Amino acid sequence: MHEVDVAVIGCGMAGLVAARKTSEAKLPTMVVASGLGSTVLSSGTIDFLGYFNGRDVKKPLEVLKDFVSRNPSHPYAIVGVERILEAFREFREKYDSFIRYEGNLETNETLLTPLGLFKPTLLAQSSIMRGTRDNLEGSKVLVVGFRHLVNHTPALIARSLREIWGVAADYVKLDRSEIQPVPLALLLESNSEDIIKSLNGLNLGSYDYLAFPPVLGLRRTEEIIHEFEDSLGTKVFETMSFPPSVPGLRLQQLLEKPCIENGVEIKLGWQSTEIKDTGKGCKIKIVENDTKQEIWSKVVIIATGQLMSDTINIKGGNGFQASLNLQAREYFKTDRKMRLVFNGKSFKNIFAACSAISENYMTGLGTSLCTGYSSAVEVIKYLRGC
Amino acid sequence: MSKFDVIVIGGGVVGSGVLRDLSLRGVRTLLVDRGDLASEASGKNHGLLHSGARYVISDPESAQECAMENIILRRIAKHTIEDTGGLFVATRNEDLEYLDSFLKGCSKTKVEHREITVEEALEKEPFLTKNIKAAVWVNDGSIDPFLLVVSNVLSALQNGAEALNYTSARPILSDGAVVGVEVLRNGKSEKYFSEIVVNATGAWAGIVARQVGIKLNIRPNKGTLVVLNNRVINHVINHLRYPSDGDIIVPHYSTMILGTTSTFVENPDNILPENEEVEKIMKEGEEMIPIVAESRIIRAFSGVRPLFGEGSGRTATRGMLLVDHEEDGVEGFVTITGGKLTTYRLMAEKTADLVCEKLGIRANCRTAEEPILGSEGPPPPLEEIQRRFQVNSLTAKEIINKYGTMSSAMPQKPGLICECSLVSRAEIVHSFEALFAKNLRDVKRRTRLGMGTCQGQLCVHRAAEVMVEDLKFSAQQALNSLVEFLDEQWKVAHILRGDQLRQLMFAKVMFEMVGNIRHRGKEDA
Repeated sequence: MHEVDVAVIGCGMAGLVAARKTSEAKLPTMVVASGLGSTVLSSGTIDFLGYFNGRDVKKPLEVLKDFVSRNPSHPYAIVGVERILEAFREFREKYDSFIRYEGNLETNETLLTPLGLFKPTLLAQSSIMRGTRDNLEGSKVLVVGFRHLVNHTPALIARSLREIWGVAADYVKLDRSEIQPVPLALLLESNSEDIIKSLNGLNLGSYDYLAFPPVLGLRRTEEIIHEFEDSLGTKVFETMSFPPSVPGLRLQQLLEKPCIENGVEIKLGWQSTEIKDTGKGCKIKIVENDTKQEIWSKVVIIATGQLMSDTINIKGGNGFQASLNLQAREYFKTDRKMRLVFNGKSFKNIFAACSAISENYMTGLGTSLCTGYSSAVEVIKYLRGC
Repeated sequence: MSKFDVIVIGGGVVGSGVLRDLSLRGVRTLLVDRGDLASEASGKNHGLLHSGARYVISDPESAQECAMENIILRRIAKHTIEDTGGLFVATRNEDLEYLDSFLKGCSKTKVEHREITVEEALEKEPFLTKNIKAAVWVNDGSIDPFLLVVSNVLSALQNGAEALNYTSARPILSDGAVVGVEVLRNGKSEKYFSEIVVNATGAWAGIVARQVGIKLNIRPNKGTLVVLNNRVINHVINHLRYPSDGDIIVPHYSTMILGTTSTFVENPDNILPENEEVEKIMKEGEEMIPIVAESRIIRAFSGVRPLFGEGSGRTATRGMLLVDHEEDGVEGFVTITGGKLTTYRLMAEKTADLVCEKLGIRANCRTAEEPILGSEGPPPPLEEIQRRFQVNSLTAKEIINKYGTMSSAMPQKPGLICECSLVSRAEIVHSFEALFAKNLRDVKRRTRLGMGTCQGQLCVHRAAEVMVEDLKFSAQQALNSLVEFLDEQWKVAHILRGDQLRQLMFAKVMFEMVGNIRHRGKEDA
């Protein structure tokens, strides 16, 4: 039987942030996940608090206290304002690698969505953050698409920019055979010359910005953008995209990197079927196809998110049992110490990151980040006996 | 001010049939519907071309009518029909008690049928339960009700008729006679006059009649249907027993439609399926086709039958009701309601006979002989369609299946938009330009965009792009249409489960949180 201090279930934003934090604190950590989850499919931008009181939020920190006092069951209220700030600060500091996130904690930026609308978000990959609404206002934009990349809709984006937002915009669809964004990104990662050549054939002189779908490489995005800008003489940015999403994949790799460096084993493809909290630690049954294994772990952090989670049977040492199958209808409840709560009782050794996807507030990946971070902080305090 | 001989209220299958029948007899006719064509009961049903067998005991007259109309529709509307054939299967011992009277009933009503062995049935339908006790082959088919209605209207237009969808109409009563309708179109009110107004509003017929002071006892009856993603049957599968809930499974393109239920409702508007109905239908379906239990419910929907007369949901008549309201003291007003999809043409013929008699016009009905648009000749060759629209052969085959001879008249826009249901860009443009579609929900009815496994949630934004790229819609109109489409799809979240529910929630996150569709104006940003 495997023995670890911390077993994290789920390898999206919450799980990988938690695993990074506990492994950094020298607690032997393992990640178990049945699939990659929804972070890899996300647009890769980290929403914090986009809307509140029916209005868009410009300065999220200014309304955060009010927000948590009015939404006491929201994960932000459980995590608390101070730790939310810590979580975001650490994210900026610890994940500055092949992809850079930009944005400051004080101000929401508005970024171009795949439908040509703008949405408020806090942090975004630098390639995307170059196309804020403020930057585009008063500029002339050419929205670049690829004929067979059908999920990207440059004509719609350009029309929305022009008609709804008053930004002068045209579109072009380049003739490429790739139908999926990831292969196109991998191609551009090694060779951007062909596409630069086909763009050079167009008259780009009058455009201030070229808006690309987010396919400008996987890890060399910054360099590729500079190559494009130098050759074309026009500023370049990426819009957000629907899944399958290259920025989601970049974020996934960014989150995995420090875990791997800290020696965290990521058991991908393993479904956790049962977790038993004995009071002294947890027994986890995991299965991959027909192979079964058991893991003994001092604590478990459940970070299975909302969208992709399967059923897990959870048993408490003092006899209570929960069968959790989120399937998007509800989310895990935790107490203030991030311990999983079921029917009013807290498990002793099972913690949870409680994501709460909510279009009402546009809090998306921000909740995953904060609750993942906070559960790790509580686990570290608990295992060190303080 | 516009003047017609006849105005038909109601763009369902009956209204469109009346429109075509009258126009073929040289009567100047206008059709109006408050919503889209085939957007209520005519589009919310099994899509079953009845052989008549279902009614041989409960309603022999309907059975006979169905059997005759079945043969006519296969001739005049062949492009909307898939010739699947049907099986009636007995799964329980007590079903066998029904078998003898069923076979006798079929013979008596001239419903084509052939008793087959259990082995032959299982060979035809390997997914049938191995427990079947008896099987009878009948001449059922699968019919696309949306394209049937649209094709009828198009045919009528060729003969000089006019049609307006999204135009609500209220009959105008003047000196004891209905003299026309007051319509509301794009927020503007207008009056259209006619000698006769035909009320073909199905379950709403009583409500429309009441507007001119006539009491008509229509009893709206809700039927729920469930759509599964995997078509594992070749024939329409019927439970061999006296008509009851959840008896029928119809293969439809790549899906199966299971149903129905029968419940009286007060108000025919805004009817949604309920979980208990879905569970019941699934249980009944599973009894005939066990794999139903493991299949993915991609959608459920409910339509409202216009029943009338006494009796319970299954015994109240499914026959037609044609009333000349002269007998109620109102001139120039005729109601046609009741009936069923399969007998729409006959209903239209009888209505047109009555209308012509009232108008003093002597002209024979031609709808039983002349094919509707799309079926008037052999469809174009597959290669031609494939080349013209730059689509794969499967998509080209679907195009020909759906539109028949109309296929080659579609605009030459290349490429595929919806992958689950193989919908091409050309069809979407064509729907708007020639088939009265005003929004993406209308496109869904005409092309099947979003009727497959993903329910349009992975392609509807591509269709919205077509609206601004190939048509003259503004970005705001296209996005509004996209949101309406998604909201309609998401209305049935409460009956979904498992992976389909997960997919729906995923799509909600995708459009609401990444696309930000709830904030699509400058003032919101």
